[in-house]
Amino acid sequence: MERIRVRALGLRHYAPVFAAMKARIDGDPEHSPDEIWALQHHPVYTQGQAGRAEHVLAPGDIPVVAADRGGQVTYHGPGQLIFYPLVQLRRRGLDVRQLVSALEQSVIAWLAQMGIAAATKARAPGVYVDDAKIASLGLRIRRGRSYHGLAVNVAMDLAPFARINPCGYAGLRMTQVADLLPAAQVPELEVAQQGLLDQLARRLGYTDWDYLGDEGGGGDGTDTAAPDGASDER
Amino acid sequence: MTVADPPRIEFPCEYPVTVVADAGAALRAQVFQAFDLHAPGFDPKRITERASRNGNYQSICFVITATGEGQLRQLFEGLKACAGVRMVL
Repeated sequence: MERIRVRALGLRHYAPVFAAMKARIDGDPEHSPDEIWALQHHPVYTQGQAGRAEHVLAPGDIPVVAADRGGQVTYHGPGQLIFYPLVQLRRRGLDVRQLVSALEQSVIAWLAQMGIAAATKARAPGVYVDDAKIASLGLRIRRGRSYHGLAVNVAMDLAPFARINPCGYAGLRMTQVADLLPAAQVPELEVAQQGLLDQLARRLGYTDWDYLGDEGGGGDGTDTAAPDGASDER
Repeated sequence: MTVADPPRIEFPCEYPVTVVADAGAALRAQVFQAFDLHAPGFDPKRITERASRNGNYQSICFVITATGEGQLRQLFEGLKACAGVRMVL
């Protein structure tokens, strides 16, 4: 009976979460328990380490942030559910490939519950419905622990994806749950988050998950008392 | 579909706390004071400080033995009240 801890962070700016994630990875990697951070981001383009600037076509007023993960540029915004697994891989008996697979299969299983048939593609990480991408992956392993993670398009504005070559592919079509189901069947974000966490916990070898305390719980979509908008690291 | 009441962790437990603040804020003394007040007896060896890559943020990680949600709430409020703090989690 092992349960993974979940911090539901609500809607957050990218940069402070990124800083917190790195701080945690450097903090106590051997002994601190695994966690999943579940959240949404304010609109932002994030560029991978080897990401090529030419794939950022016309970012406009949306900030572009460099992230120390693999992969090319992608977009995050409200209505897209983000999951950052901070997992000590060896302790879970996982290698990177198995972690990627666990994340992809979690999304596929969750979509299947709603009658959406999705699949992975060879040589193109992520989850696809037909040829349109519904979930993106970008991971980094440091000191044996994973960070960055998974972004699942649930009910968001997909237009900003048209201003980049998502994941480095010109013309890659993006899709989302809200475009694949009748409106009445689209789950609320909180329901979707819990459904995906059920899948993720099990596929990472846990029996279940718990919200971590008051700050971690709820996910009321707000930032903490210190407003982290105006002078954000971008 | 409805939202189930999700399970919560049980106390006492090891609880990592991360504080992210603007670079240049006098963070350390303020944060130590908040921990002294709300989580006395924390192990100073289990603290990590770092600056973000482009130097805009600094962060401090602590691992405490949390005794309950009330304690965490008070600790988090104390930490969020520190000047320059952006996020506590």
